[in-house]
Amino acid sequence: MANADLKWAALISLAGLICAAVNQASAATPALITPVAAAAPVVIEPPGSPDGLPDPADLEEPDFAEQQLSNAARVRLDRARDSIVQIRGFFGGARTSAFHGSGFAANGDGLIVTNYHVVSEAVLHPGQFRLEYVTSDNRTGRLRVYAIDVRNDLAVVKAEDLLLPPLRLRTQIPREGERAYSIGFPLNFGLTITEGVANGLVANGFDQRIHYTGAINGGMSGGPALDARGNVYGVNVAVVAGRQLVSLVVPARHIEPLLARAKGPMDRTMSARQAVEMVTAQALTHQAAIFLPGPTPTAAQTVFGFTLPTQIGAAIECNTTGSSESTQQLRIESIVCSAQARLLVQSGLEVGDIRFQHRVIRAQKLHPLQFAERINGVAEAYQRYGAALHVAPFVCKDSLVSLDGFDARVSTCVRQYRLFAGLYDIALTVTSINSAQSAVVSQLDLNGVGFEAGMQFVRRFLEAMRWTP
Amino acid sequence: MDAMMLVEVLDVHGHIDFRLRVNGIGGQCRIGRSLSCDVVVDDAFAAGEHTLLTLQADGRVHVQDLATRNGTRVDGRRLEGEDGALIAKGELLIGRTRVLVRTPDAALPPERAFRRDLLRRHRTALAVVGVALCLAFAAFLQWTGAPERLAPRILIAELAAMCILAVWVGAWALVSRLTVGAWQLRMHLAIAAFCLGLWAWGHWLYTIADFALQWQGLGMVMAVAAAAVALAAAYLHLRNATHLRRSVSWMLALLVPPLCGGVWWLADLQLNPHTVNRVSLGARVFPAAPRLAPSTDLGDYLTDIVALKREANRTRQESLLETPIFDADD
Repeated sequence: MANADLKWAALISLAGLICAAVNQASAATPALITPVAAAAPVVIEPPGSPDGLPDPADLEEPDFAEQQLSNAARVRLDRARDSIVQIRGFFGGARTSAFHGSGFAANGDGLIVTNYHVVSEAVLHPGQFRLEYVTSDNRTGRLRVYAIDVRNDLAVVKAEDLLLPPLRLRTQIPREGERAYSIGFPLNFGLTITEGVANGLVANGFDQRIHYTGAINGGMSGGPALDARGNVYGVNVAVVAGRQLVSLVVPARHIEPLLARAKGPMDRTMSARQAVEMVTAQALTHQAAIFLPGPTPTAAQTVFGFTLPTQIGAAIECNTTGSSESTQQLRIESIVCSAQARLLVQSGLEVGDIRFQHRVIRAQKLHPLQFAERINGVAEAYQRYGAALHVAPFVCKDSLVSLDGFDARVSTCVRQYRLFAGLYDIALTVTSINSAQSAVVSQLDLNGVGFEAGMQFVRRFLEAMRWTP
Repeated sequence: MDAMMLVEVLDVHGHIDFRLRVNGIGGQCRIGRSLSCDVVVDDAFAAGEHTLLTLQADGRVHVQDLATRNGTRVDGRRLEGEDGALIAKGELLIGRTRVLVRTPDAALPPERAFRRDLLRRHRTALAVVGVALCLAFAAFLQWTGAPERLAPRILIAELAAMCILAVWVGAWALVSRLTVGAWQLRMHLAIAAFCLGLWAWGHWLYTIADFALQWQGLGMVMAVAAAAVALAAAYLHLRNATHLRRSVSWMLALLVPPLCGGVWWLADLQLNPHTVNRVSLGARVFPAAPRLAPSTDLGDYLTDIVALKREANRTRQESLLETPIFDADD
């Protein structure tokens, strides 16, 4: 008995440790948010039971409450079924689809709402991709994009030969704990409804998103998120990868303004270049808010005499961690900041990302040459990311610059986006050179930003750095 | 002095295979594949009786081709007609076999003085110093990394340095053995260790100078200087160590700098690939080192980097020319 108790105690403490570790990990690394348009087939594990049949002894009479829930979902699905289409994208003259998502009729004129990320390829490359719909009774036809809202990841599409009964919109944000449903075509499995709970707006988010605790999967993007009365409170948009049922929904209040803008098919009213410029302009408008000075314009943190910029922009959040190498040769304190304001402008390409980190390094028992080697190592190990498909190579300029109270090597690299000519990546590396015993290596990455706004931020960043002995 | 001629048959490597001395005016030497000849050559491109050499009264040699299909060449020129040629000295080509002919009349080049070659005289000391430079750099490199366990790391680095030297020295000693017949181990060790040691320490000093001067052109100047040193060293080595002619030595030596540069470029490409994510941070920093270049004012630097926009535009244009995007720019 005592033995069993011990085992339990051990198990409980182990579970506690795991929880602590998970919490720490989630605090240190921002969760990956993945949009949920399906691009590739998914492999599915077979069910656990070897013959696939349940043991008759395990079957029980269905509980009354459970039956109520299932009926409720069934009723929502049946009422919405005729208003929902699957949207498929085809490359060139292919007969099999390249990607797919969902959409629903939002007004009596036949306008269908979906996600921008479902139709982005057709908007940016109208000569390469075409869109088709499939209704619940298997009718198909050509779809055209009428309007896009990149910031809210929404798009309005329309088929000239299709008039579906619209769903009713609810612009009010659901309260935490309200029953909610999401409908769509996950993984091309056919029309599906999932049931969960809406949890109000995501706190601290740069963009307005409703937190839905329920399953959303690839292919459900653009499908309607319904409340208990069957009204559309939002549009399925994304899921937080690697987490349990943390899904995001775009509030329905953004739909009406977009419907008002849907005047005609974009591929007929504008050129591909104009469409790209429109997406760029919307991305730049989105960023303008991030580049506003933060709550306290001089937000900074002082480590080992270095005063370093932290929340110098609107939605920037920082973590500070310390590490001490086992040999005690160095003490490193890291401040890692980022603005969770990424915006998908094209399949596989997110822009508007702001990240920076300061690594303050103090030598304990190192010769100046050994210390120099470490600083260079820290500065050179930092990796930049980008695909040759999206960006041109960097061009760089470095110089020894006198900052407030100390000198530093400042290296600025800039590259332009290939398709989105108005967007740039700016990569800044600052390496202090005033002391042979302590140094700061700061890296700033502005991904997919306007050049002038980015340079303003670089100025604010460099001007906020100070050293006081 | 009596008339005389010396006939020397060379093998494919240019070494003398057979030597015959012919004395007296009217003395003859018949060259060909036939056993009746005075000099028998084993050459499928030679006739049975190919060339006849006759010693003349004036001390010169009359060379006559015996109506062969491939003819006889004297110093590269083919003998035409029946008359043949009169020479005091020359190189005959009989089939594919080279035959040297000379008489006492031919001028002898003066005695060549032994080279007062520093490298050769002090090769042992130089080899020791060079190896010491290499081993010291290997240890220094490990020390600057300040690893947790320094001694084993140094040991491994020393072994690696010795392996590099051994492979280099072994390869060139073998080349030397095959071409000039001597291994020249100490000589090659001295050369290899000096090349490697000077390059390693020189490059390290260059990184310090790069930081101190902050001059963008330094890299180019050093590259040109290194190429010039490599060219000169390669030329002198070829002249001293081989029998190659001046022009051939120059041509081979000219290959050395691009070859070294190419290896350097490939190594750099491996360590830091030329992808769109490659950034250049500038000279490595040495906070304790002296600085000769003044710092830039922050305002000036911010003005400078605005110019990056135009450069980035140009790079994008180049990138689009290289791999265009469909219907992006209509």
